[in-house]
Amino acid sequence: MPESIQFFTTGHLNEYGVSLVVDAVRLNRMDELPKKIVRHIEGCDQCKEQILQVTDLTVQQSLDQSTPHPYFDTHKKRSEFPIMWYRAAAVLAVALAGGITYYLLNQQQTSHQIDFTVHPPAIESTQTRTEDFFTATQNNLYADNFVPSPNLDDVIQSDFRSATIEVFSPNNGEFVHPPITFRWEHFDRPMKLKILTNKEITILTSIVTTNSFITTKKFEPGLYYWKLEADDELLYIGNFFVR
Amino acid sequence: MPLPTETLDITLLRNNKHEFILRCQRIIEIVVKHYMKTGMFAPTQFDDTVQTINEELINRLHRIEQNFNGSVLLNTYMNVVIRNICIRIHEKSRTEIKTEPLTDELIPHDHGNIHSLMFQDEYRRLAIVLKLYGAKQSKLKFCFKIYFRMPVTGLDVDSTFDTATGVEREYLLQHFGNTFDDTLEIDNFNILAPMMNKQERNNTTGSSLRRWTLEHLSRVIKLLNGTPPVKTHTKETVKILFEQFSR
Ligand SMILES: [Zn+2]
Repeated sequence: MPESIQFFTTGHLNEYGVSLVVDAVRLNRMDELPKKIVRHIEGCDQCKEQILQVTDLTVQQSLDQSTPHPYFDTHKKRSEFPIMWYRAAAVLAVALAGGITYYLLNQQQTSHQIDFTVHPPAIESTQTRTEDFFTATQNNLYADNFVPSPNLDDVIQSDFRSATIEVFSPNNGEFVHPPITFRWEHFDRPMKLKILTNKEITILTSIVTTNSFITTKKFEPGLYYWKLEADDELLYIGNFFVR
Repeated sequence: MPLPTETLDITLLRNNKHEFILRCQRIIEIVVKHYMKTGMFAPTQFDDTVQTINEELINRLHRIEQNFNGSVLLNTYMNVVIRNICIRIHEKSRTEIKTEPLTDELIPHDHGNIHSLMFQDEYRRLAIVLKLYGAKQSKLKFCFKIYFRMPVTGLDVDSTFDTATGVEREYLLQHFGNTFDDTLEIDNFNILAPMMNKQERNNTTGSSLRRWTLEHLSRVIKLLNGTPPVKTHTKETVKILFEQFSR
């Protein structure tokens, strides 16, 4: 399935959009429809009528529920998975860095205590040790960059369901490599795209008028948040990791 | 009881278009018969309509195969496609043929109480229309209840006004929790408006909330009746159906 699914043509639901809502009605999964679709049908009688008519037709027919639904069970799961995943990844990153620090401390103390731990290869140059220490300290610093911002996370958790704009990339919690491409569905007004660190410091602001934005900016490894705003209204907030 | 239809899949469409078309026949039949009942096609047009749909479908199959984005059930999608072909055929011939909705004698229907079946059908349709109001659904239901003078429950208040304090909740239940036949309609909406304003961070009057309710009631009726209208729902029939939601 293409990453960006088009459910609209000329401002109304197209045949896919109507089909998806009918599937949702029949499978009782209206809550899982993209917010953009829900908001459109809320105010559009023309689309409501088409949906009602097709539902009238399909309720007369058997419904095969033996296979997963291509949108609700496949596409949506794929884009939701990272939300759970990124928390795990953040915890893992912190744990790893903590582990490295513990290992270094341990290294320095081993001569004074009975050692039950398995050591790394005995032969190593002082330089390697210094580099290790440097990398470990860096990693420790980076680990701090991976700690989720509770404030922004809260917004993601609460706003994710009511996002006014559908975003195609990056997926929440995705590991990305610069240049990073941000893509979203068409929006009829200019928007402000902001990238924030996990400490909620804005590191990039750009006015966007199309449906994508690419940045070649160098990012330190860490967890980042990004927002789309129009007229000071938050339209979307998501996050991504840079390794 | 839903009629069995064959499951359609994209692999079949790619590998065996002939078989795919064969498997679509049941859907075509259901769609055409459905529109015959609404008077869109005369019973005598059945074979011709099926034939025209098949011709158009054969012409479109390649495009469907190329463009199908795989985001929805192919059966549902084919229903939409076949329905749209029907509408186009109808629009083309609308000026030429005048048809009347089929009378009960002409439509073979299931045994049992036709009225109860129709009622269930219309109840289901109203439920779908209300669902399509999304986030506005609970507001709409609440306003309909006030307009139809149907007592509201604590659950109605809670699902509509999540910002209401205990006092406000009691206030609403005090006014609308039991029968309120002897109050003026506009007074009811005047009582409701401040609560709705608080909920929606809006500043509207009781009379414009009443207008909003009436406007949406007529839109719901129009949707249930179809375009062109093939049913004859009124405020009264919607009220009867709507009362089922409170049971
Ligand atoms: Zn529409």
